[in-house]
Amino acid sequence: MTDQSGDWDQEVDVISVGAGIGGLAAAITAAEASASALVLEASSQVGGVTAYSFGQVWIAANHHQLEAGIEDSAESGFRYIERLGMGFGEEKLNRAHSQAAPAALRFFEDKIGLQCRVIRDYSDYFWPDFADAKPEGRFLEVLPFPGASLGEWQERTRTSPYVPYGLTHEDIFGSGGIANLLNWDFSVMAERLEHDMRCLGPGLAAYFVKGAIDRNIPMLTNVRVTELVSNGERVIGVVAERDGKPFRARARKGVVLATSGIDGNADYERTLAKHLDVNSMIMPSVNGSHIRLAGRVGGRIATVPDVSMFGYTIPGEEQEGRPLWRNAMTDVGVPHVVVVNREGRRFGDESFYRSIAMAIDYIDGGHQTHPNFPFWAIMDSQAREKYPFGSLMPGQDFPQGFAVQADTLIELGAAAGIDGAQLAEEIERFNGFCETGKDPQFQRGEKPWSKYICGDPIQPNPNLGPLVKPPFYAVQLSRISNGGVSAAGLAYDADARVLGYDDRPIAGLYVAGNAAARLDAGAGVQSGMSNARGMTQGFLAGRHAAGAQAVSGQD
Amino acid sequence: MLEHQQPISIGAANALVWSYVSDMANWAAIMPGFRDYEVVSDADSRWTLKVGVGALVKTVHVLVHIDLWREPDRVEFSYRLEGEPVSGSGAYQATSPAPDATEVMLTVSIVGSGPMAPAWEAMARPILPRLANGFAQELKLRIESEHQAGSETAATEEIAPRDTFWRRVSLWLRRLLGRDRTLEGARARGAV
Repeated sequence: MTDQSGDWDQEVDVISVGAGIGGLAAAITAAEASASALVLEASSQVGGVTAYSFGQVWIAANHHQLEAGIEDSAESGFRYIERLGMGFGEEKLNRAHSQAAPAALRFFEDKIGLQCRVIRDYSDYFWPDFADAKPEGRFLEVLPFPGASLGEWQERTRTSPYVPYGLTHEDIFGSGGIANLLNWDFSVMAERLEHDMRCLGPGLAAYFVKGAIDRNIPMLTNVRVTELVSNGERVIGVVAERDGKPFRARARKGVVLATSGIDGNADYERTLAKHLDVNSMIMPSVNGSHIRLAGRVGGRIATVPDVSMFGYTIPGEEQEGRPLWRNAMTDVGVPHVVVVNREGRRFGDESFYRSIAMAIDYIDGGHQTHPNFPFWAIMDSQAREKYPFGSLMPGQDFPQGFAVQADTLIELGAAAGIDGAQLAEEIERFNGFCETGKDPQFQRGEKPWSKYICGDPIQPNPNLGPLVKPPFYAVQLSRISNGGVSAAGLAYDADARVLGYDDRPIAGLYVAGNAAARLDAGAGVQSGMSNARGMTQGFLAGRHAAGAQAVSGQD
Repeated sequence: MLEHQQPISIGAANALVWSYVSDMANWAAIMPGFRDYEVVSDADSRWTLKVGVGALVKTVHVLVHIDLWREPDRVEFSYRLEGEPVSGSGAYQATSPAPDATEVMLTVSIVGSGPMAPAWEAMARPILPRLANGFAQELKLRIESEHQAGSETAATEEIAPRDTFWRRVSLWLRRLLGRDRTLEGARARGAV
């Protein structure tokens, strides 16, 4: 919309669209540079997808790591991401991020009281296979945050339907990890939940919400931005719907789009990300609005190779009136569980989600089929006795209609729609791998990251365990979106300015977090990168928009 | 096991309070997240609730059994969640410190069973007081509203004809729809 009228409902220097870590980081940074800021959030709560996450923040050469004596450098982090990117990323964006992320972390720790620590013993995805991967140190988590300090925002700041946010990584993985739920200290969890001490993603989000509160940055919820306003030269504001009425806000210095990914928009998922029939696991207000908003002012869409994830719904669970989709990535990596296609064949390393996820969308060009879709998680009763499956606790019966159950694998296959004879043969072969502790097919359980995130340390190979004890179960899995981490987003420069198709920045328009195409990382993903990207890009956008010193040094 | 005690001060006579709580459907209807109520037998009912656990909303089915029904001051009950290893019990105890006042003490316990019992109880700890408080506030509001409506009806009756045609139709409809919970209704049922 081109508009030069002065008819504004509110005027500030910087507007953040979206109240996750990216939007809040931008607003806080702008405020610290003496600019006025405003946060507009489409949903009824602030905290965004950040609050749904495990809260990991992945930053190479962060000061906590270095202070702990864990050697690293921004350059090494840059090379690691370069390797993961497989040529799909852009060197200058990777370099800008690698340099700015440690500075952004220090900035928020200094300014808003963010408290982080290293998650010990938690390795990069590809350690020790890649030269610049690290065995620990790059992953950070927050210390528990007191929810009561949010005041009137306590109930209006998101928590997570997915993560046990009464516990830290240290608590969870110090007790044997997700596969050892039975060993967790639930008295700690009860104490923290009772006093609303928030850990993991809800804790991370809450620190930034508090940062905005402390700076008197207005956060308006239930405000859906419908259009950007341009004066022909730059973006100067937004038009939104607020309580069913138009709301116009002027941004004298910039608008930051931090609306997360394209989840929830099946058309965008299919046509931009090439993901079919995906179900969103995050809040319905995340639906690719940044693509529509920036598109009208010439913003360029960029994509990187990425996966749709896989998951399921448990009857009776919902969020905001819709079925709650749960990510199965850790459920299928524990012992006594495998993933198979309709032929009854495994097709990836179940303990490393990207191996499975990439294979789901594989198209067999010779037959024009998806050989690995549909697909199922297969498990025996040992898995049910020992491990959780989403919110279904060890020992708890599966709800009616959730799974197919049978006493033999052949019967299970017949009931589920899988080739039962081949399934039985495949499981027999897999059980042989479990005896040796080696999976020569897919190297399951060989990545230290996999052992940490879904391994059972008491097993010889923490991710391998035979399926021998009936009854057997089959849970059909579906494609789900990747929790805001999308293959498509807006192209941007080293100062987080949105680029047009002429590769020139669109004046007054910025992007942060999952709304930004992952051009810094290309084909690569590493847990904790999304939160780090949101924080860092918000920092860069806020500083540049406010006219403070540009961290990247690029114009 | 977790236990929570929730006091409720209601500005109405115990007889009116009992006339409300003596119908288990009324208990279910004021539970936060109430969706459905089914009578299973004289002593058993099945409640469907949508319960918020943090950001997760979950539909649960609760089987409630009345263990003791002692008019007009005490009810004891037990319950279990269908498909979840969670059960519990509770009691309702009313006293009358004044003719137009009732003090209720509601006691509810939750017991998780099986190896994950500590997890269930940890998750329930912040929820239980919230549910009990929501229930208490609604119970107080409804009974006091009816008390006030009853008082107004009684006052109107002082100046209104005793038994008009429309009044008879109105009473019949209220009985039919199960809303005869006014003081007059309580009197009609012999509760006062």
